[in-house]
Amino acid sequence: MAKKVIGELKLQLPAGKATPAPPVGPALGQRGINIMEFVKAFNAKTADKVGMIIPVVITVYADRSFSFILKTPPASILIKKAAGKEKGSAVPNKDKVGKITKKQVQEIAALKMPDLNANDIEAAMQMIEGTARSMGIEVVG
Amino acid sequence: MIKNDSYWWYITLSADDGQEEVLFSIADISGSIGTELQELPSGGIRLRAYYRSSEDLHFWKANILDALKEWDNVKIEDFGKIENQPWNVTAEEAFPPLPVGKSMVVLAPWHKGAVPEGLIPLYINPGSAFGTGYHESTQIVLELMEDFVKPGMTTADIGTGSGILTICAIKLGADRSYARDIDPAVIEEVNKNFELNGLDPAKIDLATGDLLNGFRHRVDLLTANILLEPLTTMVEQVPKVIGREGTAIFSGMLLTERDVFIEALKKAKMVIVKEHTKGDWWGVAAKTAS
Repeated sequence: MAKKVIGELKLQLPAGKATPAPPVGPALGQRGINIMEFVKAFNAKTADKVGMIIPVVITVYADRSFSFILKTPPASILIKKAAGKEKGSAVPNKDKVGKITKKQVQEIAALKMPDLNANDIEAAMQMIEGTARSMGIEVVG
Repeated sequence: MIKNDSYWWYITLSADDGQEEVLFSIADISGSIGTELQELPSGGIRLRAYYRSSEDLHFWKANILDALKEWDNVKIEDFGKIENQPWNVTAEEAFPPLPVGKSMVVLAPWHKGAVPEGLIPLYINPGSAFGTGYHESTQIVLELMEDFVKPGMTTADIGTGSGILTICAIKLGADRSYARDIDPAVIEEVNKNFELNGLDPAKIDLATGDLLNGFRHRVDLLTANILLEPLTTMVEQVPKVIGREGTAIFSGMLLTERDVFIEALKKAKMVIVKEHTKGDWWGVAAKTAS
């Protein structure tokens, strides 16, 4: 059926630094969207978050125009911040590079709840804890 | 010196519905430069994560495999190489000059200075607002406007999007246009398009607004290219805005929705003046019943 909205693209891009490189080029180019127009708009809106990777949902219209909304950064970025670490561990199962507390896990879970698809805060916390562990960050307390 | 990448790696991960946040984090932890998420119709999700070619594919895969140990159901689906391509050229090719109706042509900014002779140019930067001109529902309104816009008119453009219908109204001789859109994000976009066309700002009143709620002006011509539902919601308020003499052009409906909207017009005591169809899409010009 003919529609005005033809689809949604869900990308994650570096804040303030998106370029026509993948995933932007292949995803938008094949739908005939003006790539530079999107890149400029995205970078302008995320200039204050440079260094983070930001999920963005792009609605593509049948006339090849678009609109987009930004989501909260992935949990890994919030965990790194909470642990005071720039990076996770290179070998997370051997080297524990940092710690976060249960309380911090709960705070991150609460912040991420709208995007997490979790039924309750406990399920959200489990997801955050698992993510922390896969980064070599220990949950304590 | 920053060297342009000539290719990138991709690694596609799969997981269960509702686990996109896990995949987002894994991509971030493993050093991805960006990702694209796909929801499979059959259930489950895929995330294609891209990586720089400054390291080899094994390096990135090892990063991912390490992060995956926490998640039993997250798997690597496939991986490979993607060559650099001039992706942006395809976007420019997607917006060639578009003649509309008898007298107009929709052009992108990069066509400036090359207006086909005898045609009125409508410049639209094909970007972040509906109304590039390349949709049948927009063309339906533009073509009906050729018949109904007369010099000196006042018009209203409800759901302005890119501003294309206001640009058309002023270029066909309207003296004033009220442009409204519910989305505050389009305002900047519309202003840029007005400037691109050299429109006199004094002729335009641009503001955010939800359909005709709070709209207190009287106009000779109202245009609304939205969708069936909002159109049927606002139609009852239209006679008050266009009075006995004015015309309203409604578009954004499928031909299969025609009967429903005709019923709504009757209820609002409006009569059809002209109908217009393009492809699967239908639009209509109507007046207040006398």
